[in-house]
Amino acid sequence: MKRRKQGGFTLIELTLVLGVSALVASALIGMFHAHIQMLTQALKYNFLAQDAPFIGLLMTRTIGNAEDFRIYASGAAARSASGTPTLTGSAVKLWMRQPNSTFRLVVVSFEANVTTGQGIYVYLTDLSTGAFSTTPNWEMAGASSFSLSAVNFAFDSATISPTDTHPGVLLVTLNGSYNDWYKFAAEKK
Amino acid sequence: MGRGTLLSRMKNRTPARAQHRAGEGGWSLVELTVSLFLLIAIALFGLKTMVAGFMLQNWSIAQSMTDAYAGIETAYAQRYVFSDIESGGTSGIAHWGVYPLAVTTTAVKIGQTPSQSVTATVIRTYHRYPTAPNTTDPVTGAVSYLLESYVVYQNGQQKYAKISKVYRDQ
Repeated sequence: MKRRKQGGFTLIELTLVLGVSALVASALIGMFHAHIQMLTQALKYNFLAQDAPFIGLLMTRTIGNAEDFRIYASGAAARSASGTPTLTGSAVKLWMRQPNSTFRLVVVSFEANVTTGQGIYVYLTDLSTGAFSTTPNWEMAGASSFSLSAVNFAFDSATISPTDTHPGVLLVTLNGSYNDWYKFAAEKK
Repeated sequence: MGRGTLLSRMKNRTPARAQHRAGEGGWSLVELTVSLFLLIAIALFGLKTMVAGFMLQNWSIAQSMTDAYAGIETAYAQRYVFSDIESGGTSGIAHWGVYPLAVTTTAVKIGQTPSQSVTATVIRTYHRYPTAPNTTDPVTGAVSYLLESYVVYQNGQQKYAKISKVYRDQ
């Protein structure tokens, strides 16, 4: 009798252990699931928290140095001599004043590049020929499946009032990959 | 206590293996419970840290979005046709109401997160110098305005405002 009692667990002990284990296991699984969800959410919000403000700062500094700007539907249209300016599009042409008072044209556009993929690219004109470079001079930001997915430039004269004839503001909208967006005004001198 | 007493006690005790097993049985239950509770405590701490990080990330997003919208307000205030500031131009609706009689309040969408849109309230007002309508500065004959926009954002109990002030003169 004595040996039997000391050799194993009683039914109450086992029930208690199993009950506590089940409770703790379910709580842990719930918390693990919450962890995964939080990590997924954090990854989705990463573009707005880190990338978008930084891209905004870069673009504002670049566009803010321009004397004038025009918006085009695409980067190709902006680089073309016959491209027609539009009120909204994925590219903007900038007039940058040089030290000798001449202008150098710069195109900032969101487009797909053959070698480096989708992103925001900057094209400069050659100082001697005045022709745009066929390849981007530099990449401002790269797009990916979990960050930047589109950029829209808009000459927005309608935000305050559609009937007012005040000068418009260049609004830039950076779209993320999860229906998220971040909008800012690219200041002009 | 003599040697005989000790020997006698040893004889009466249960076998060492059985005694060890019984003790192990009781302790293992305690160990298991303590381990599980420790595990839960660690998991809870981790979850709390993640929630705090996520809230900080949201706060940071709201800060940059309100900053960006205040920048848009500044850009509009700098470009708005001077003669339309009081009258509102062809629309006839002045967007910066004269302070303090006609301060305007507008709800605006300042951004969109993966889960919801972010809205803020924009309060616009202007201060005129000279303050009396249809008057000009007696010395220079000019009129000047201080256009103010307050982008007010509320996140739960927290409420904060970003201010854009633009001075326009002619």
